[in-house]
Amino acid sequence: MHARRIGLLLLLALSLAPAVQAGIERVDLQVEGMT
Amino acid sequence: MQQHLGRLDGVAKVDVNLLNGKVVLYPKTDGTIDPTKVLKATYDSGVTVAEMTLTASGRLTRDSQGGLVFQVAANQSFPVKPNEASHELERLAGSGAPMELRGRLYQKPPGKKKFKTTEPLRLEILEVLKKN
Repeated sequence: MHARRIGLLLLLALSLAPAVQAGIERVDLQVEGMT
Repeated sequence: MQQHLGRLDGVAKVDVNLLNGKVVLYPKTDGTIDPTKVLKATYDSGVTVAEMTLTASGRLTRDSQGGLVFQVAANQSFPVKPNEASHELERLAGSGAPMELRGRLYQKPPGKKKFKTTEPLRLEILEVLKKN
């Protein structure tokens, strides 16, 4: 019974954890000579 | 330059600040930005890139020689330049743990004017923003 409850709590925690989406989010450039 | 960069594949938006020389590119939700093409397009528009950094999410893996690689998409990864931050993350390589990083991909070498597109871009990890 306890094991089942812990399992359910773990599943809940995993589903609520913010997922990190793969990929580039932004690219920052520092440039010189721009007018 | 804004038009040059805005035409690149995978680029949704380009913010240019003329006062401080900072340019920010945001990708399309379904696209992939190629940093090498960004560097080339910037030089082609007549300005010099002093530094390029990126913020990305992905996983650390290893290449065939055992070097650390940051995989941001199935078809896009960057070899990691060893530094203090990368040493701390070595143990996570291959674990599949997702993370969000900010890293430097390019810094203009002193005295050198033009970026060569043949040079592979290596990611120097500056900070870990999020780890799962």
